[in-house]
Amino acid sequence: MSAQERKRRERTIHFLQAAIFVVVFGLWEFGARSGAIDTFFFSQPSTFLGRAWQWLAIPGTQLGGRSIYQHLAVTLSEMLGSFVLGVAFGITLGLMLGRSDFWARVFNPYIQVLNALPRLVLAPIFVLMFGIDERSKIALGFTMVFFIVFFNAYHGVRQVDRNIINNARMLGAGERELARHVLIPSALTWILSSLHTSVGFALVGAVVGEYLAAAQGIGWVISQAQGNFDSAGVYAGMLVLCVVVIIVEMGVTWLERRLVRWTPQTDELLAG
Amino acid sequence: MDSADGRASRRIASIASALICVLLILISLAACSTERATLTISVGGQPLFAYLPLTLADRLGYFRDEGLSIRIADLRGGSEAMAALLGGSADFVTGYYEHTIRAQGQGKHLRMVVLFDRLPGLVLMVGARYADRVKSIEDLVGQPVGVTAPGSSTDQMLKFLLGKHGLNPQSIPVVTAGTTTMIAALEQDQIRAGVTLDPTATKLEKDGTAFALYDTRTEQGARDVFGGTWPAGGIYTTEEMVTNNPKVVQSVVNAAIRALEYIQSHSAEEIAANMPEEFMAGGREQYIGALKANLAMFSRDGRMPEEGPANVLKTLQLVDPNLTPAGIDLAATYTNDFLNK
Repeated sequence: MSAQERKRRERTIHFLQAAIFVVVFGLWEFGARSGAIDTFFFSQPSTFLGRAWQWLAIPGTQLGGRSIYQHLAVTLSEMLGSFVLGVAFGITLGLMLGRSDFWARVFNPYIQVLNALPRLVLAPIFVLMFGIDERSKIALGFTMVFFIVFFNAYHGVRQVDRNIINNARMLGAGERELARHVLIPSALTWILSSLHTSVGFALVGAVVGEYLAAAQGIGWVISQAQGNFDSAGVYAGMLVLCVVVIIVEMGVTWLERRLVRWTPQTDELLAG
Repeated sequence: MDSADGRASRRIASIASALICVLLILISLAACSTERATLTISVGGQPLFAYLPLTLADRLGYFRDEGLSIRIADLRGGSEAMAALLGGSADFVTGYYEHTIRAQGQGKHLRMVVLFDRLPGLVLMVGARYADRVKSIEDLVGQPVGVTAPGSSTDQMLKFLLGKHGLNPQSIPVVTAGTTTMIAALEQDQIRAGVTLDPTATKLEKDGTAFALYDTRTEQGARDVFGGTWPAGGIYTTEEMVTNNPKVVQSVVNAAIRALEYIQSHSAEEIAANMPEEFMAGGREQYIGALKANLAMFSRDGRMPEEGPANVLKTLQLVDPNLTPAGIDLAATYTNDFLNK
């Protein structure tokens, strides 16, 4: 395909993406205005887009005494907290159990059981333990992120080619150098592949935790709107959340690309 | 891996899962059929005195006498109870009158058919440790305050108090705390204050956990806060139910009236004897004591007082200026037609 054809293809794709958006929202708006769609349950785009705009652009708009940005800051801090903790513990435990077959087998049944447990069921327990502040949301997100990262780190370590490990050992690598130069970079490819999912779950943990029991956060905003039968508020909240997700996703992709430069290619390691 | 054993066990697994599927379908069909014959009445906090006539009518068999089989769905707050009605999973709601007005503002037509409470019974309780610092609603701005559920009458009272004092009704972050869980939330200082009703309010007072800042359990208190008569709990349902099933509505109202009459002619001890133990979080003695103090809140005949609806609308407008007297047809939000039949 020539460069020109490729450009044309790109433009068609973008055009169709925009068209889908316009058609869906257009039908929604039209349906709401004509009465075919019950605005009590589904609201209409003009209303909730206006509401989202009011939250984001007009200073002094309060939701429980705070601006939407303060709520978003809370949600994002909870997301970051659970992500960092989940990744740190996940990598550490994944590496440790990946290296020690003995301890892996000792803990295996417990890990399987804990992993099978639907984590959202733990939400009320965390509220009882930590109250309604950020800690219960971070705890919830942590339980989701940890297992993803742990399993990826664990498999990442176990999948390392025996030859590479032997080569490194022959060159005089001790346990720590082995971890630093062979195991972690190798496991990194696995961990990076789960990055998008873990960030997603960290956000889910934060939002769902807020929805269930909180005094602030975007999940709280949505639950308030729902309780007051404010469908416009619910959709506006979801819209704001979508925008945040898109921005976070872009950030994660950027991070991923930067970290991928670290990960070695298998052939290089074998040859070197 | 495709040994003879493998194939055999796979066959067993598929037969087993097919049987389980059939079983699940049968169970759900059975569950469906029982649900259709039963009326569901949703309520936001069944142990609360405001809704006592409902439990009384159920326990004394008044619904059964009318030929009705009812199921009571106890939810965290009045807004959740109303959501059940609007979503189709409840036929009636035992809840506060003000919901019918707010629903009309959203284009949904609900009608209250019998009134339980002449007085709202709502109390804003503040954590005892803040006794010196919190003297009025202004001191609570920005602090987490518990309500039964967002959008309930407890939430509405809080926002109304803010509006009445010239503050932004949205300036207090509201925390969902239900009824009994609010006690724990106040004890653990997760919320600085909470809006609740008796018997929970009395328990909090007696335990020393919280004190009442704004109290509508008495005539004077209700007048001070809401500026007049404020009809509260009762049974409401959709306009369709009233129009299409008047006989069912009449039966429900009959049972409710009998419960109200029972309350008028019996002592607090006798009434409490019919209530389940789980409702008495502070013990039976405390429950009976609180009930005695609140007996005046119950309506004698289930009739909506003349001035009530207009006053309720006035207080709602303070929170939501979109509810104009011109835009709301108050006559459509209640009816006394099912009484005295």
